[in-house]
Amino acid sequence: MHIGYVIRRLALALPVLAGVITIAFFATIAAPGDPLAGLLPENPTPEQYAQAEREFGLDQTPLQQWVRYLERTATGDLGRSLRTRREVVDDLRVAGVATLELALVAFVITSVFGVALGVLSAVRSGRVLDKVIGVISLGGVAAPIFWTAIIVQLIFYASLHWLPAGGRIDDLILLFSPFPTRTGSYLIDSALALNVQAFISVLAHLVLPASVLAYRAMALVIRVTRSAMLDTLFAPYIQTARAFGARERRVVLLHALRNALPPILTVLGLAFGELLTGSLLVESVFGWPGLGLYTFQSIVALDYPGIIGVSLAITTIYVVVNLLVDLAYPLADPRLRATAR
Amino acid sequence: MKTFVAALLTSVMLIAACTPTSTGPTPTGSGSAAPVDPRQTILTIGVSQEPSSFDPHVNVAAVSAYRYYPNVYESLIQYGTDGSLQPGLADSWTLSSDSKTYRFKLKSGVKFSDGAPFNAAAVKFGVDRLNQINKGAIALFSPIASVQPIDDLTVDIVLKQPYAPILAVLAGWQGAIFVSPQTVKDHEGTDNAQAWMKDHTAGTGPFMLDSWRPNDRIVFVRNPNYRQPAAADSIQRIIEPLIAEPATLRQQLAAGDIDIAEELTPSIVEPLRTASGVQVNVNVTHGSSFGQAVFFNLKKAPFDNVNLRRAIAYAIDYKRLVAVWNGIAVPAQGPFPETFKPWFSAKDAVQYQQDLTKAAAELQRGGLSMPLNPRLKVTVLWQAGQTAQRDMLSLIKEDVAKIGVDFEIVSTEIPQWREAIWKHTFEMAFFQSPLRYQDPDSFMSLSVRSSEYRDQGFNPGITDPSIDALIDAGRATADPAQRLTIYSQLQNKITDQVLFLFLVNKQHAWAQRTNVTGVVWNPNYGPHFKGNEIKKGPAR
Repeated sequence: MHIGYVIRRLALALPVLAGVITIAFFATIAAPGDPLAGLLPENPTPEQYAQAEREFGLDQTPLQQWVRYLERTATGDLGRSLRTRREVVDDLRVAGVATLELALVAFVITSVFGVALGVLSAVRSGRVLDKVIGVISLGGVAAPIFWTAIIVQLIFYASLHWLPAGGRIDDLILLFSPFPTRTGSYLIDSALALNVQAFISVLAHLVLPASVLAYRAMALVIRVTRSAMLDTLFAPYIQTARAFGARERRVVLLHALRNALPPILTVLGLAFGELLTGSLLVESVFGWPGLGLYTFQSIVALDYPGIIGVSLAITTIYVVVNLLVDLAYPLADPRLRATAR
Repeated sequence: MKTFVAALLTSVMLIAACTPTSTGPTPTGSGSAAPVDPRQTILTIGVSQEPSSFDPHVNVAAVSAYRYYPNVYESLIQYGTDGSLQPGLADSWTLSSDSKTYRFKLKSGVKFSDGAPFNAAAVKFGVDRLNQINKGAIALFSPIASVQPIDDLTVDIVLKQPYAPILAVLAGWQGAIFVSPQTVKDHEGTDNAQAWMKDHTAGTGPFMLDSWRPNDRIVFVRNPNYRQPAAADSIQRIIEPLIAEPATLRQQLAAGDIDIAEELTPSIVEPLRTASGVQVNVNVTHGSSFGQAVFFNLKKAPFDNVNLRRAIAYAIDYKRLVAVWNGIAVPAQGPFPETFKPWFSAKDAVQYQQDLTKAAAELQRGGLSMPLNPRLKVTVLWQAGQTAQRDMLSLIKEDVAKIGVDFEIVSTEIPQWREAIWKHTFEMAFFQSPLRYQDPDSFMSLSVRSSEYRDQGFNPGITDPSIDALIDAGRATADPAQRLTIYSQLQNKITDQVLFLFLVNKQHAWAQRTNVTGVVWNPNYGPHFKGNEIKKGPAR
């Protein structure tokens, strides 16, 4: 694997990011509405209004604002949110970590269950188990995520009282046995502090939102895994392996799955992107203070520093994830090692 | 030796008994008192919005701010539940003979949460900082010329000219502007401590901000310097989780994870009424807040035609609109709700009922035909999130179609809605009267006075000198009888000319767990979640 390749890929991301800033900026400017509305009373005095315009640089021409924004972004300053009045960088750090935590747990669920059910479905192709898994994955694609979220909340929270309805941790634990904030991820921070009680509470709060989030992406992974596996399961080299007397488990997991991996990796990469950005409704139902909720609130308030900041953050994550997927191909398929240079 | 030990033990126990437990709940209890379940000392209030700042000199959103009043910041005077003015941070007040100077005698022994004393200088500081920052509710305080400390506990508020509503302003939630000068000085920075005061508080109320995790939850703890010590079994912490989704709010309230929720949407009121352990309250506020009405763009055709406006007012079936609210609204009868006593006047506010004959007569008088020919196409804006507005509009659409008006119903978020009003680009737009201060002048000075027909103004085009003269007279005179006459005349003019379309008065729907006691409904503010007066029993 060449460092040069990685640097080239990352350098290519810079124009993409500049493009995202530009599009997000001018789209927000062009949208109807007054972004200062949320900051001011119903009838601000002319002086109050002018002061707010100056405070957020809205008294300059759009072109001046755009240039200033590009300059500031280059230094890592994303400006101050019109909605929260905080530095966008700080907002994104808090919301980003919360979303990453949720998305990573969801990703683990997606990849483990998605691939396992996909493989199972392919091996049992045409039989009852395959049909059942087919229905499950169809449900994931068809059911609105919002609806699924409320249904699982009704079942596991309101009826069975097994899991909490929302939030990131039990308030009492945070009040009476707090743990130091190191990463912002409650899961990691409570683990580092060896605070078992808190860790369990965080995990319990993650189960429902992460599962709901994972369900849709998982459906896609199941289908892709199934079809990729079906392609390889009937390949001549699999017949050969069987003819040599290899055990079925070894044939399926080592030979067939390994060869089916490239399309699965691609869809897993896409799935991770979807988990990061598709979390708005899940975050809203489960009160998860992440990027999805932040994006929605920023757009509604026409908070252009917030909108651009969140677009940049999501683009960056996509670029990095895509890069990681590209780097993983050669690991899965040795034939690609020569080209990834 | 024995007596010494006994004396020592006794004094230790005495000290222990006398020390207020203001630092937090004691999970195991102290001394001989029965252990208090920590859950009973925590009040959880589900909220759907959070403020953009806790600085009372910056914050402008009533919905997010009045909930923290008066737990954190307090006002000089306050309303009793009967609407009478009661002492707050001031014990008494008098008005000078020229009606321009109010002298307040302040409560002694009041401290801010940072330990600094609350005194006349702090009152002056509060008003001065509001003016310096020039954000927030500055317009309401513009009638004040100066604040002059007379001695440590006496302060004069001097008005530019006699202004009767000033007491209502001072008693409203926007009058809770007293922050510790010491804390502001310590964290002044380059912005008059705005950055610090955004997520820290330094007020005189029984609670103070402990932590704020954006988009997640806000936690208040007891103010250790509050003038009354807190009992061990009283509420020690208030937690406010942000719950954006009404369905989730409803489930958490029904399960007992949330003690109180307010501003309930009509869709969850009914299911909550049947949930066990939950009490749903529907109350009416006194003032003009929560009125659901529609702006006409009065300066542009076709709504510069008073007859067309009257025809629309006669076309609507008002009783049907109330049904949209699941029992939490009543028909509106002018700018003031019926409960806004003594100001509301059923005699003077013209009452419109659906009457298509009268609608036809009005159209004819205005030189129009019934139904309109050609039909009139009108865009009506409603405020996103207020789905009841949309539902009411769907009904009105059917009604006005009969006189030849076709509605196009458009949802707008705050930035779009405000811009349409501020720049006068709308045709018709729904609005909800904001909670400002409990005086009839509140609505008049915001939406009726001609000076407010301007860019970023909230007046839809009313520029009538005779109305202005009445509004100014209502402000200048302190004589209740004279004011009553003035506001009756104003109600008559406004409703006779249909300057607004008043539809329903939304009531305040809120719910609490039945083990929570001491939440007082104050019609002047809404439910009063005074943490120091609320008690929470064992979960039921």
